[in-house]
Amino acid sequence: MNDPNRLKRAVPRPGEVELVREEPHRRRWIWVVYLVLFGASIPWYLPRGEAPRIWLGLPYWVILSLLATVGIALFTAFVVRRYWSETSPSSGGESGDRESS
Amino acid sequence: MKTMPFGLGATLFVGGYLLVMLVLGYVARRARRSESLSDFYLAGKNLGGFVLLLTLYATQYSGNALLGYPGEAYRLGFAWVMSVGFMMAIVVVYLLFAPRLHRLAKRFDYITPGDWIDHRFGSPALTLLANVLLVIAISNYLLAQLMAMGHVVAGLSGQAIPYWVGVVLLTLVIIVYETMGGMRAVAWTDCIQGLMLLVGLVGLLIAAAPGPEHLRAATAWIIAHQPEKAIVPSWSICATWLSTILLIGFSGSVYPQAIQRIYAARDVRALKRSLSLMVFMPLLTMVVVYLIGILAIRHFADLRGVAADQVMPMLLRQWAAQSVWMYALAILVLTGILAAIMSTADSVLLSLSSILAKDFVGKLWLKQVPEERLTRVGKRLSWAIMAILVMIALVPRITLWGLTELKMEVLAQVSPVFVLGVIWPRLTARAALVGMVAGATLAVGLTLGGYGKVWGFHAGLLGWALNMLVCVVWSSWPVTSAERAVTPDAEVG
Repeated sequence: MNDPNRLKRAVPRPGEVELVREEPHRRRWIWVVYLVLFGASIPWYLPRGEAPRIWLGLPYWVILSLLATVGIALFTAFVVRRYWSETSPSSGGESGDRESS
Repeated sequence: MKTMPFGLGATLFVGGYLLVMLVLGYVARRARRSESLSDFYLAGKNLGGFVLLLTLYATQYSGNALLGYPGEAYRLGFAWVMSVGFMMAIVVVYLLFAPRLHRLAKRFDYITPGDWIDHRFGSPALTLLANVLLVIAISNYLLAQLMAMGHVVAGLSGQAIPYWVGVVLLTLVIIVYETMGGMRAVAWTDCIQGLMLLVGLVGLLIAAAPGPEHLRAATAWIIAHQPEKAIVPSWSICATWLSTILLIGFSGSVYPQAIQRIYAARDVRALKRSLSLMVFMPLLTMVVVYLIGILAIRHFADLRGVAADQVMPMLLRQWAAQSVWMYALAILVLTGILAAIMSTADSVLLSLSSILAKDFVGKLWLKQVPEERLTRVGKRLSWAIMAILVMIALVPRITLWGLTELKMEVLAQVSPVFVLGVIWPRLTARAALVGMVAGATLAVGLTLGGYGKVWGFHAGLLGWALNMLVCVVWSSWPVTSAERAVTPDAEVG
């Protein structure tokens, strides 16, 4: 609050605004898919009260939960690859220098 | 003198591992480029994808994961498969804020989590409160690691090496290599420790050998003798499952040591590569740990409370007695477990030291001093922190998972300033401060009042929900908009 330049420095620059659109949090459908996958990983939708059948050595509902988590991992890898931009902000200055690899 | 089930071979192997850690600390010290805070605490912000992946992995999977979680699977049963999902949730939450936070950290030279909060909100009160909560939470976490070191050494030596010797000896090794090489030493040792953890887990899989028939027999036994651990979980457990995913997702992603690894990544590509592989790690790590706990239900039928945390060491001791091959495998696993614990402890210690040195001492007492001096102060603080925590660790009273839960209750209250703060420019400093106070008060109040869970939901999650609600409503309120017009620097972002 004591630094008068703080506000100026933190406001996104033109290149950055475009970049923000390429970040995963901007795409709502991605989070709907996560809602479905995490929802499927919790067995709230299955009938209760009986001895569970065994699939691959484990109760069937455990296998269903594990399949949902495999889906989460695969989907996340896809989202990171496809919707997380590697482009640096277009304007120069100190950030441009430091962000280069 | 009691006999040591792992004998001289294990002592030599573990001794060799500890020596390698010290040598890496020395090499990291030689590789330092300056005595700046950035070089000591963030390795000059130059961590590549491979090192970043292994340091994130070794830091995130800790003594809790390898000792507390098999015990929890033993106590709760098959529903502990929730651990796979909640460890993935941490990486998913990163997708909300890590891309932008990494970019800003590069541009504005953030060192500590408090640097982001200070820059984004410009409120010393908010930064101070967030730092206090972070310090409380990660001190708790570090304490859990020290206790885990003692349990492993005592459990695997058949109590021939006392719990306190394990705590003190391993703490000394960590503090020496950490103060020699800072983040560089921590990241390099994490690489060795992460690889050892992976090899150890493969060893565990081989040792446990849960082929379909083996696993089927264990599952059938549990269904017949302890059916409550195998049936489709009740609504209450499903509520706790959901609560745990949200609580750990939002709190685990804002661990200071994880935030500082986002800062320390060399570039976006390195960060992307490491996170896209990190999300698969629970499938390897947590599934193996989970199966160990499940198999132990039949193997050790009557463990209670803290004793269940000894499931893993007890199994390892039994395997070691079976054959030379299993003995070698058990030693590998044992060292992998030690590596996992130490890699988490060193990272947490480094973060704690950076917050105390830069955000507390540097802002309250030693203002305007050279960075070299603050770095030296940070190193001394590391020794002081460890001395205090070792004394507390010598009197363990609750289970390891209990420690984790208390930590998450507090840590979750800091997540809105990172998650909402990064993605929602309208969040104001005052809203974040009031939300954090309200959330922390509710979470701590409920926990201390004996209501750790309400209808299956953790007190920390209820506090977090109240915190988020206050943040959104307060920031959206028309009066607050007028306040923003008066004090525009409150809406930075």
